[in-house]
Amino acid sequence: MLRNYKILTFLENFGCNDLYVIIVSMCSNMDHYGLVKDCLKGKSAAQRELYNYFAQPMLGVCYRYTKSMNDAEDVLQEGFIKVFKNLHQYKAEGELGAWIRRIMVNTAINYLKSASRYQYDLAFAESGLHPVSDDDPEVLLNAKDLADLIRQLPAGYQTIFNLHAVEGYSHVEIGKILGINEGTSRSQYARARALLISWIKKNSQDNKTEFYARPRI
Amino acid sequence: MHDPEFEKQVQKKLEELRFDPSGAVWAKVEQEMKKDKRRRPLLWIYLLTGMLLGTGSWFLVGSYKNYKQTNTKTAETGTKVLPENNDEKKKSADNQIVESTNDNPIHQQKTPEQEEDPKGNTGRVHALMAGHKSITKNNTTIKPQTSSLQKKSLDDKQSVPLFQGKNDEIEEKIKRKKENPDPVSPIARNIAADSMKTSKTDLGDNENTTADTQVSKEHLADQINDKKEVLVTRNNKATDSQRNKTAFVKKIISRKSTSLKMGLTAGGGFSDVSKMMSGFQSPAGTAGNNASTGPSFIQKGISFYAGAFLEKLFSKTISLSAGLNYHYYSTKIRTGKTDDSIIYVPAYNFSTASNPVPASISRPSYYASGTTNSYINVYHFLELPVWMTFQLKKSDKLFLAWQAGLSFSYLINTNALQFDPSSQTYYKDNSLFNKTQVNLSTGLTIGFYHKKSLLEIGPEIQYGTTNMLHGYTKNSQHVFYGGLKFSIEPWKK
Repeated sequence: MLRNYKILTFLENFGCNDLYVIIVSMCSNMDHYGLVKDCLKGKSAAQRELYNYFAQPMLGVCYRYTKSMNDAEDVLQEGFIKVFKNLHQYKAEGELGAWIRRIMVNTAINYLKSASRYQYDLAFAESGLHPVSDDDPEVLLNAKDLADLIRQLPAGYQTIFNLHAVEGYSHVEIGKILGINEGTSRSQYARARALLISWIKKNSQDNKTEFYARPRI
Repeated sequence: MHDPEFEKQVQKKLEELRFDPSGAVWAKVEQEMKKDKRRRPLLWIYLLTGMLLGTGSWFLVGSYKNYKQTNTKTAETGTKVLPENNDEKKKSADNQIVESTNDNPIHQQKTPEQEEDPKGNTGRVHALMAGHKSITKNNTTIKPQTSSLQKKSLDDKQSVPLFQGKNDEIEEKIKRKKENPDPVSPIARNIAADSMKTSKTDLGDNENTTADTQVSKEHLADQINDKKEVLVTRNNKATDSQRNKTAFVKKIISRKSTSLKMGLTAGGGFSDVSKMMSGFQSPAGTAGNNASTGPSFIQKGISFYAGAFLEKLFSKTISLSAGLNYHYYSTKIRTGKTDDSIIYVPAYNFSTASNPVPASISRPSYYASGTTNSYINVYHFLELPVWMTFQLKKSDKLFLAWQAGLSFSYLINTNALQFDPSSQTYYKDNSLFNKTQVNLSTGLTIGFYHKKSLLEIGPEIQYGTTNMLHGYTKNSQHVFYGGLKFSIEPWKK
């Protein structure tokens, strides 16, 4: 990563954007491969480099699943320990970032399950009925504001929304992960989605008079 | 079905979500990983020590077996005097038994069994060389014969049955030899000469009667016994020289085949790090701008090592050695006061194309810059040295040799401090060190033999060609060692 920096900057400056993108992706994979090899050898510097490369986006992932930054950092820490301990299981075929992200998501869900403050919200009530919203509002919020809105959802809604809308898990998969019915997952997701859309709409309207309005559940 | 457009928008937005984690997260992750790491060097140490001990034991057991086999075979070959004809084979076989008793003073005393045996004809012979095995031969008891004086002191009852079963045969053989002596056979010559001597000296007046073969049974038995005794003495001399020759040849053969020798080595002196501690440079190039006192100069410290090695001789003057050593290096620096609180110093450049700003990492303890305290940086290395020895000069008792080689070393642990110019502090971070090092070494040794051991002593120097710090630190430290080397090969025969 570091050693390619100058070359990439040079290409970028001279307008070779396509070549830049190709080389970036190639170098990224190559560097990840070398980095993983060094990490497997137990080199602390490589481990730190890997951490520094992925820590920021992964903290974003953890942030979406938790209610506080402290919890998010706890999940991040636990997740990276798992990453380094299980790095030998990583196959170079897939993208390293996706693999780490999956570990972070699993760690976050386990964290929510084990933390008592989240357990009440994660006791999903069985419900076959769910509101259907055909609204398709344009999301004008920035990433942090959107994430903050998602975090305002009850933990159960929040988790299912994150798993389905952001990570792309199916309701069957979510049901297996959380130990609930597929139908429950669907209804919880629909409620979460409806709530979030209403908050986004309200937020857009409030933005005309006030820049930011905190929604109430 | 929901419109996935909303989900796509959410996904796209949240992909951009990034936060800077606090330094404590990495500190905890690192701490956790170090716990795992600590077990690994220990495992290697145990493994290498086990291998070394195993090799040493194998070598010692092997050399002991060789020594034992050589001794046993020498003893065996010492008893096997190559006879030149069948008659002499029998004689030498008889002599073997007698000789075996002569070799050991224990056999000069009669065993209680022999003393208690009223008949004196039990058919037992205690042969020590065969590990106290009893040898029964044609129901004939061969009594231990130690010397002619002792033999003469034996009464007839004891001496007559000694060769009773073979008296006739031996008598005939002696006669035959006298009549037709084989000029080629030394044993035959001995017999002839002895018979002449004994007839002149011991037998005296019986010369004529011997020539006429009209001797009494008793005199004949005495004569035979005397002759056999003289023959045994002669044969003993022959077998002794033969045994010595065989042992010498065996020794040479065994030395050639097991020219791999084991020894112990140790050394002591001083160690130094070849460059001044300069601290890290931040990618922004701001490092050192606010430096007030700067890093300390590194002073020499004590260094020593100890280990074992195997040496393979290629010729009289060249040998190759390889071993395993523990090496202790130390250097001294001056620091200010110490503080255990956590500080955050910029980690050296882990920036990427997308993230060029270095992250902060935590340091659990640090030392301020200054000169009030002295701090000893200690490095513990496990080394695998390989070196060639070239013998330059040799006298009767001494030899001078030049040694040159390289060693692969592994940094087991260190407490060495690093200097951070931005915060003007020293801190510990072992992850900045290259764990594996390659060193070059050379030296002169004077060797001499002392009590069957080869001792070597001489000055040597060693220089680490590998940078002790990782390349990304943009800092260069090479370890240097100078001192005296001692080695001993205690099993040299």
